[in-house]
Order: sequence, then structure tokens, then C-alpha cells
Amino acid sequence: MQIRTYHEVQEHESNLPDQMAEQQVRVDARLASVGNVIGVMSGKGGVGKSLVSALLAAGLSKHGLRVGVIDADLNGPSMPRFLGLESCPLEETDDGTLPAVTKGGLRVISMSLLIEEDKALTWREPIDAGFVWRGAQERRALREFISDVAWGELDVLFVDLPPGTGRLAELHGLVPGMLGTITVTIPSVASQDAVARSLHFSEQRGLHVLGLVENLSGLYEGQAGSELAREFSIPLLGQIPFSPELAVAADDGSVEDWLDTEESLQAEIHGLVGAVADICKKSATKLAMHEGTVGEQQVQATQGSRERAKRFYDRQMREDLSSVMVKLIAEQEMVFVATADADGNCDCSPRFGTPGFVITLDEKTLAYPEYRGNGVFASLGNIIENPHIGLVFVDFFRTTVGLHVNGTAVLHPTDKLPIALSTYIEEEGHKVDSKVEQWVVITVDEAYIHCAKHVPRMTKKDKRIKWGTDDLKAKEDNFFLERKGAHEIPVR
Amino acid sequence: MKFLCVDCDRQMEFEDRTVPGDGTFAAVFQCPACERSTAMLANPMETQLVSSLGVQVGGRTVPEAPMEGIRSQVSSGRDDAFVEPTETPTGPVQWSVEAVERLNHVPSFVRGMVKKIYNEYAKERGLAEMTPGLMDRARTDLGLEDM
Repeated sequence: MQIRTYHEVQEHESNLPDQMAEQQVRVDARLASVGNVIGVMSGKGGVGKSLVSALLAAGLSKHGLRVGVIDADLNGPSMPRFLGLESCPLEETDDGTLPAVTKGGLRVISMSLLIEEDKALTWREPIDAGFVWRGAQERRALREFISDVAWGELDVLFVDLPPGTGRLAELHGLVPGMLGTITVTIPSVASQDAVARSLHFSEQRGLHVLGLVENLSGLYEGQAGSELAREFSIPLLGQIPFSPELAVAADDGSVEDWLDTEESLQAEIHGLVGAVADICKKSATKLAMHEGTVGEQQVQATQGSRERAKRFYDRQMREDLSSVMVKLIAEQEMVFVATADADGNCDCSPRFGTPGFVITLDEKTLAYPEYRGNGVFASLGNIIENPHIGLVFVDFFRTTVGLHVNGTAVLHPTDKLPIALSTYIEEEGHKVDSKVEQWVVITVDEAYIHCAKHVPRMTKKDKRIKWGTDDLKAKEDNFFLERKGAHEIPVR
Repeated sequence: MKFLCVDCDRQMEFEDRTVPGDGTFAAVFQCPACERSTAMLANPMETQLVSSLGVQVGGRTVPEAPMEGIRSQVSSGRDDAFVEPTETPTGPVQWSVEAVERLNHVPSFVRGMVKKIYNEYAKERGLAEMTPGLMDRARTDLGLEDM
């Protein structure tokens, strides 16, 4: 007997996958009016993550940004206490549940606004069997906090995450285009260990870490903040010493007021808030830039894909390189280089080198070496006429994702290098081949992922490469010429 | 989850569901060709797993209400979590006195959501008045027996 299997039978009334997809549509629709989603996380509990979230939210609000906060620590919510919202009934509207609003205008949702005072969050579940679905329940609660709250127009929505990485994974699943995370640590070695794990997790998920905040600086002997920042090449956004006055303000719900006091910590807090405000404003500029070309917009209109494309622009496109992108570039031995002359005639050419031959000088600048070639200089000739350049890196061997980097290029002979590149060569000269004839330095305009779904995973085989050789046999440059016996491709 | 009538090689169609209130769930599916019926009986764990995903076997008859998962699944919800509607429920669907009285017995944590679901149910069917009888029908049709 042959029985049709699941995918061979059409979806019927239940159509659970479509029901799930509809939930995601609601999330996307709600976030369409939210500029940035930022997760505040830590691998360690008790580091003051929620207080940092409250300070950032209140501080950015005072910078004139429209700010919302989701207290995603469902089992240990504290945001309403810090912001003076402990007893605040929520109002329902046709558009969803209105968030609680602080006197400073912060919009907040938290489980502590929903559950009985002094009671733990409990679910309707048979005793001893809740483990089966509690994770799904909590993910659903997070989704509803995002999609079912009438947030209105926001510049930034902070999601204060519980310790660990589980809820971060759920958030990233629901909001793959989130701007990134701010990670909080304290100086202790134990915190450094735990936070390092969560940063590794972020790297693996391809999540952009916007920066680190070290709370309770000076209270312990360690320097977890600066050491983690160095290890993961991420900015240390701020260091906050312990303040008894701030602790009292947090307990009595007056964090917003505390920011207006003359307390000694103001410089540190305002520095931190200013750094995050810059990140948000930069992102807003970036979003405005990525509306697509006229041609893209025309095809999108014809194909009805404008909204989908907009989501891609908003979520995937950056105007600089994230730490994850930098890491991927540093592992590559090949890049495809597209250029065009002044009339728009195109050329696409691969470049090869040892891993990391394309150098990231900073988040906006790349450089790669030009070796002796066939003497035509198709790419370099184009660049002289038209500086626009498109690079595609494809990681065939590990992640199978690709990376597009578009920008403008400038040629530099080896004796006239920009300072950043010459400094790099001085410090890392052993990585640079002496046969380099010129350098191409690229200012990055935009960078975005090429998703992995159609990219084959390959296995690298040994091949001895002689860089810059004129050995005819090694070059095989008559491969496509008419010649006897040239019917088969020789394998090297 | 799909049900296939092997003899007819036809997908069975959702017919009815029952939520008896003991955490379990029953759904009836019928073959459109031979009319053979099959009941799917889910234990509390299976029932909760589906419920926690915010999906409904047989498809949704009314849209998911705001915070439906939290309000229907959290057992420690506070009574004053939501602003109590001050006026008698009005709008396109008129509520009878008896229906309002019955609605007032619903814990306030979920009352607003339940009212919205009943209103949606009546509007979908072009019904102008909510009565206890219609509430019973809606509870059965929507699988709200345990709410």
C-alpha cells in the first residue's frame, strides 16, 4: 500500500504553517513603525542589565528620541519598578494594548504589569509537565509583547533580555533585522566568562553586537569590559561605577528623575547614552539611504515586491561592516570584483590570496592587493574611469553565506599608501606578499548578506599556488585557445 | 497534522472540536468521500503544546486577540491589569442584560479579550445581539470551553 506523505497532501483548514506565518506578519507590521530594535543582554545574571536598559531608554528619550521598552525578563521583571510604573492598568484599543507610559514618555510593557504583585509568573499547566511547552509559551509572550502592543511610532525599541542566550535567540528569530545587541557585564572574571559565551553565541547567530557596557566598574578588580571589547573587537560604550544614589533611584522608581540630578555619575551615563544615540541616528540615516535605485523600484513595483524589498533594505543593508562581516572577510581567499568603465561597460573578475588578503582597515574601509597579471588591467582601468566597485565574497567552505560590499575604489601604488594601510603593513607585514604592485582601497557604501540557501558547500583540496608567477604551465593561460587535445579540462 | 483516508486517498476535513476543560482536546475529522469520521484525542501535554503556539486545529474562525496567549494561559494574572470598560458593551453587537451579567463573571484579566472574541464571532455571522445561548455556541465553536 502506498500512502501519500505529509508534504504530498495539501494543507487544509488548520494550515498551521500559515497560521504561524500570519503571526510573523503581525510582528513585521507592528515593527514597520519602529526604527530600531536593540536587545540588551548579558550572559550573566545580576549585572544590572535592566538598570542599564532603563538608563539608556530614559537617556535617549531625553535626547528627543521616541523610545519603547519590552521587559523580556518574564520571570523576573523589574523595569516598571525602575521607571515608577508598578501599578499601571493597561488599556485595550482596536489597534492593540496600549503600553504603560512613564512621565518622561517612555512606553513600557512588562509581565509585572500583568501578573499579581508578589506572585511568580505561572501558566495554566498540569503540575510537573510544564517543561513540555513553557519555552513555546514564553516565546509566544515575547511575540505578543512585540506585535500586540500599540507601540506607535518609535525611534528605538529596547528589549531587556533575561540572563543567558535563550530569549535572545527567540528575539532574533522574531526580529531578524534587529539593529543588534548591547551587552552588559561587570568587571568580575566570572561575568567575563559568561558574557564571552554570549558574545560567541551572537557571533554564531550573525547578530551585530553594538557594544559593551561595564556596570559596577571599579567594584571588582577585573577589567572584563575592556578585555571583552578587545577580544571581540567591539566598542566599549561605557563604564558605570557603583552609585548608591542611583541604586536608591532604581528602587523608588525615579531613574528618569535621577538623570536630571547633578550626581557624579552623570558624565559616564551621558557618555553612554550619547554613544547609543549616535548609533541609532546613524542607523536612521542608513535606513533613509536605502530606498533602492530607480530601476530597482520600477521592477519591485512591477513584481509587487516593494514591501519585501523595503524589509530587506531596512533589515539587511548596512552602510558599514559589522564585526561578523569583518570576520568573514578575514577568512576568505577569493573575492569577485565588479567594475565598469565611464560608459557603464562592465567587467567582473575574481581576486585570490591567502586568507585575509582583503584587509579591513576600519568598518568603512577595505583594501586588497593587485599582483602581476596579464597586463590588461581591466578592473584597474575601469576604476580610474569610474570608481564604483562591487565585491562579492562567498564562503563556500564553512557558512555558505555570501557578502556583498559596494563602494568606491581608489588605486594606490605601494609607495603612496594611505596612513592606515601603511601602518597595517608595518605591523602585519609578514602577511603581505612582496610581489604586490598596487593596492585598491575601497570606501564602503553598503554591505549586505547573500543568503546561504542556494550556495553549495565545498570541500577544499590541496593545490600548490605560486603567487605572481610567470610559469606558463602554472598559468594555463592558453586554456581556451584552439589547440590539439584541449577537449578536456585538466584538473590540478 | 493532517488526516488521510487511506481507502479513498482523500484528506479528511475538520468537522468539530471539543475542549472538555480537563486539559485535553478532541477534534473530529471526516472523509469527504466515504464520510468515515475519526477523532483525534490529545492529552494535556499535546493540547498545551499546540495552544502555546497560538494556532488552532481546524483553523482560526476569529483573528487572534491581542495578548491572547498571555491572557488565556497565565494563571497568575492580576485582576486590575487592564482598564475595566466603564460602559455596557455596545457597538455593532448589542449585549443582552443576561449576557453582560455572564460576562462579568469572567475574570477581569481575560474579560476584555473574551468580550472582543464574542463580538468578533457575532459580527462574522451577522448577528446583532449577544445572548447567553450565543455565548455557549461561540464557546463550543471557538474552543473556549476552558476559558
